[in-house]
Amino acid sequence: MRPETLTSLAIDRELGELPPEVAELFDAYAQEYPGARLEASAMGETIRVARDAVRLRADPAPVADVRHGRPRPGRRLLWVAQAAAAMVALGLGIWIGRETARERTATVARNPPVRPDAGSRAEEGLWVRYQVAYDGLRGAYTVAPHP
Amino acid sequence: MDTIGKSGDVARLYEESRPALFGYFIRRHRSEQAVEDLLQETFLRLLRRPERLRQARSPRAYLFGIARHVSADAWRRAPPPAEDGVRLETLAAATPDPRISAAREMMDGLPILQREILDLRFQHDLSYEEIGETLGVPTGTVRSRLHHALRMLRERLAREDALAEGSHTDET
Repeated sequence: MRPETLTSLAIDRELGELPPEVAELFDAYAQEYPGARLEASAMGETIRVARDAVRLRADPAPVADVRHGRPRPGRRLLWVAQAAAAMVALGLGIWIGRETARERTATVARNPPVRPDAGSRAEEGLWVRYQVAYDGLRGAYTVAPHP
Repeated sequence: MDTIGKSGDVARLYEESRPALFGYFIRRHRSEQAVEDLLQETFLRLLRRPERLRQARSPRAYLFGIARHVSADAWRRAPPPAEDGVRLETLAAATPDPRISAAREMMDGLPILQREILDLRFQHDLSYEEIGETLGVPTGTVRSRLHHALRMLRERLAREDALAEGSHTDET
């Protein structure tokens, strides 16, 4: 996973902005990779400092240019490219095997997590790869099982 | 009856949101008297078009959006007085954590829109989507600006930590 993607996910996770399924994927990823855990911890601390700084700091500045009407569309092409890049990066970087009691589509198999020392059980399950991407146009994450 | 129902919704929203909006205005305008006037203006504007409240995806964000306009209009008429600012600054000055001081310094250098986003998120706990509705910008823009600010802050804090470690090493 690219560092900037990991950082973005860590921020959104800490702020509670990840959809539940994406948060679960990220938590599983962080559990597998110490680097991801460190990043999540570091961003958590940064957010704590930011929150304290904002709450202790009076901001008498006037608001930014107030615009009436609908929001501007923004830099759509850039967000499309970023969303596509994030999808590729996360699709290649996140391999998660899971055991779940929830309903899944026919393309997803229910499997126990595969650990380095669980070689004897590997034949019982399949790694499932998920594609996770942030759609800047919609302002939301999308999650889909990789075919 | 229909009119009464609408007024009841607005009244309930007013009671629920008043503390948050008071905090929003006092941080920008400092004078409690001025803040009371701004609160009244906010809800007067809300009452003029109650149907917009029902159409809003987030009543809270819609209300903050009105408050933002009210605040901007008040600034255009006259900047806020400085005398009530001592209370907040004293509280801020009492903070011993140098990391928070560094964070404040960094934030002071950010564009106004980014500072607004930080304020709405960390002071008022609005979601990305609610902040976008309040400010009239796409949710993706809110997210990217917030992420950028946090990345900058992290780099700044890392430098502060390195400096602190260096000072500690020199002393030992």
